[in-house]
Amino acid sequence: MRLSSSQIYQQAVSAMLNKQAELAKTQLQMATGKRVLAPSDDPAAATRVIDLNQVIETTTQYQRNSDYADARLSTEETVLADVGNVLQRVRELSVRANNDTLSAGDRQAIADEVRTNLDAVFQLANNQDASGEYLFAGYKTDTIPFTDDGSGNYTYQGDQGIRSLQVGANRQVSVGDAGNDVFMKVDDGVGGTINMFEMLNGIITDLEANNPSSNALTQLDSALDVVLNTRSTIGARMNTIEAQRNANDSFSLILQENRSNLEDLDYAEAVSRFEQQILALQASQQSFVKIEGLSLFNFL
Amino acid sequence: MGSSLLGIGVSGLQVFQNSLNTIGHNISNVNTEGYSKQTVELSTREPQISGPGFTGSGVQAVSITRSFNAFIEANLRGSTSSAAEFEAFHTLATQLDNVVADSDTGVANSIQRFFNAMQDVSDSPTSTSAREVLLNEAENLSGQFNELASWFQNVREQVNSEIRGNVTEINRLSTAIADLNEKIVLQEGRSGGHPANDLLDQRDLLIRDLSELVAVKTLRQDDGSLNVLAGSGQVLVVGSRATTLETFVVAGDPNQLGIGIRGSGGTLVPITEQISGGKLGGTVNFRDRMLDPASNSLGLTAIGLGQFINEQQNAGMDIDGLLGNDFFKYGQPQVQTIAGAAGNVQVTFDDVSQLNNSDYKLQFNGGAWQLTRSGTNQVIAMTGTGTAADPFIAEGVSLEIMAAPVNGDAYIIRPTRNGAADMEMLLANGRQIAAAAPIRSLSADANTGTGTISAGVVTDINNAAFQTTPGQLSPPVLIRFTAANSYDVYDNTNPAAPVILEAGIAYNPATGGDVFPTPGGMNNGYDLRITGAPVVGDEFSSEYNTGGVGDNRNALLMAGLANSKVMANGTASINDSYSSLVSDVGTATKQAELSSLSQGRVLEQATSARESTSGVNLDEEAANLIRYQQAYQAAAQLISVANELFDVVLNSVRR
Repeated sequence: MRLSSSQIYQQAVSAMLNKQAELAKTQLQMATGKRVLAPSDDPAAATRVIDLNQVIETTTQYQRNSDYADARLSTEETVLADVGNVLQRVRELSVRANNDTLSAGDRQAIADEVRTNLDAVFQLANNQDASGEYLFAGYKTDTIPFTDDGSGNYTYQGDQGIRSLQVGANRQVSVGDAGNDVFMKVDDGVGGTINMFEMLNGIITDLEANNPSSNALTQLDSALDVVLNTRSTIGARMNTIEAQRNANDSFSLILQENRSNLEDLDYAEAVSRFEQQILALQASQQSFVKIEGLSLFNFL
Repeated sequence: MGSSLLGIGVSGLQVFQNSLNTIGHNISNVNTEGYSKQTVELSTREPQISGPGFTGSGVQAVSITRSFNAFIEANLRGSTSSAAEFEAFHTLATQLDNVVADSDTGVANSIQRFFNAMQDVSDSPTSTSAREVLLNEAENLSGQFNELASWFQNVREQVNSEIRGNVTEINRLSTAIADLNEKIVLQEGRSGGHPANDLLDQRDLLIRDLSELVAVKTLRQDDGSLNVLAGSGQVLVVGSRATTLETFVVAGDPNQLGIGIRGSGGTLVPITEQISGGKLGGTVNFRDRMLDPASNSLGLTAIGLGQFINEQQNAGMDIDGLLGNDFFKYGQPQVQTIAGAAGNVQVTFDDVSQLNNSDYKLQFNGGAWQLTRSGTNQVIAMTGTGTAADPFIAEGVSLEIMAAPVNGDAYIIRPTRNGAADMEMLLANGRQIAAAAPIRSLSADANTGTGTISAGVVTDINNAAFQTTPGQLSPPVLIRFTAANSYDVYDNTNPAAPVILEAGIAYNPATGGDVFPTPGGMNNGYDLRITGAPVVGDEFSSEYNTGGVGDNRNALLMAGLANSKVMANGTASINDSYSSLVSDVGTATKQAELSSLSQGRVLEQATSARESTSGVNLDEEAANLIRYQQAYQAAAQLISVANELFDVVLNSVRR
């Protein structure tokens, strides 16, 4: 085919420009480490990456939620462990108080210690977490949950709400217990319920009257049961969170691997492509110079 | 002159001189765009009859012609138009392609961060900092929607300035072609029918430039002029007269430019839809097929997010115990009047979950309204009658006709176009985030059965139970079991003296049961479920969630919206809605890129074909230069020989 002089020149130049553009793209890919620089590079992969980013970020958020849930349940668990210890101590004191050899003065001394213990339980029940929320107030976390009218009557000001946190795509975990379930519903041993504070108050009154009730131990045992049961559900919930956290971790790992496969650059392939492109550009530059130098006019 | 040797030699000298000049012209124009190689056509001069027969009388130049093939040229024009069309489309498309998925400019990240911040609020609903962070993320999200919408708007303005620039350039070229037509007719007539090569090249080049802007057809006239038509036969040039194109604003929308041609009566005839090919065709195509749907899709995502978050926020309770205010404002449907009274059609959203990214045309013809989808002209069925009480409803949009129309009234409706541009975050402070639900349920401490009551979920915040008195449930209810399988419902406004509302409601301890709606039809706008086996005297109640600042139920529901299939008739989440925009933009850009590449190849081939026929090859010219130089020298030698012969004659008679 007959070629025109300007066509020879144009073709060589545009071939070089194209090679330069390819080279620049490879270089950008290597600089960013990404195979997909804009959606048009691979529309299906780009969309999938957006979806994956979203799931990965959400899963990371679930881990944050889990940390938070874990912290809140640990706080509650610590508080309830303390409550259990205090009640255990009161039980020991009650056992000792039942000893017939004790004098009224001895019983008064025991009553005094039980009163300290009552104060301790009352304070623990009104405990606040690190962010100032009352642990046992239900949803009313800025309302002090338990109040005392000064004459031995205790009321619950909270409600029965229990906060749940999202720790997995399909899993919510309760991160608390309403105060009235934990402190207000102790079996009084005579067919009704009594709250923990009035129960302790009753024990104190009986001791001060030098007339310890045999029912005290029954009540204390059922109070300890309530605390223990609540603690075991907390343990179960923390196990759930741990299991979910592990599941989230491995899920997230798989997704990140998927995302990497979709959008990350295969450096080995990119480097060899880069070398090839440089070689091709150099070849076309050298051949351009040689061909442009050829002319019949050189011989006239 | 006769057939003398001198005459023959002179004819050769003249003609070869001419040929050498033409070679010089070719060499000088080796880099001139649009130049076609010229050749002097030679033939023998008319011979003379003498004794032995015909004696040759030398050479003559018949004409100087250019190497030109009309078919190749037409092919080149066609491929120039196509390549320019796809290149223009692709160049504009990359401007969307580069921003929609970018982590800094796209909205996917901002949506994600908003929902994560919402989760943080659900972790710790009383935390002021978590609420402030959410507010910031919400502000950032609406800002990101605005930014992207304004980027789309920039691209739209660029499209408009391209259209204006292209039309101006088309008019300039048409005028220049008409001028050349006139000159060519004149020059060729004056030269007695010889082709005006250089002018013809110039005209072909101008037409090629024109076809880069818009696809054209040419019709050759007998007098040598070319008529030029664009699109589906719109005349741009007839002989020495050029018609000018104009741009105009479509239906009062300064963002929408149309292209028109002045008709004979001075009226502007719109030809936007007839325009095809070239930069202009590519630009208009980009606007109609990519920019409009992408802008609408972006708006759709903003509207979906705004609307569904608002609905959930409205159904919640903020930290001050009030029902949630709207979280976001988003753009309302755009209506443009083509014909008829402005404002005669009021368009609002009916059901955001049914919206899509279409634009529509609403027309009144033959006494009836008809809704069609822009682009496809598909007729969309509408329900309703168009009155305020019973508006037309179609694809999630409600249309109300305000006054009697006349035949020919027409409106363009773009439901989601402004969705993202007009988005705003509305909350004044973090306290207004409605993280809590407005109700709570209680079971009496004295209950001895195993019955439990669910926490309660709001189903209709507009129910009188919530709306009658702010910050109260009207009424709070008490549920008292009168038997293991039966309960009464009371108005518990005064807990000391509950008022019976409905008695003897059956209860099945094996399955449990929803309190609302009651068998008597009472529905208070929330779900409440009792399960287990309550005993006689057991009581449950519901009340306003006063003081429930630690409640996160509504925040969890808002956070859950990220993945709920609330859009596109329940087939797509808010995130899906955005990623489908990214996918559409990516796919369209990819297609444009591939088309642009393949059309570029076709153009290269067409250019090669033209160059092969018409281009100047310097080696060829050098060879011709040698050839004609030698011929010229030989012809000069003839004159010298004739001179010597003449001397011989002279010397023989001088004695």
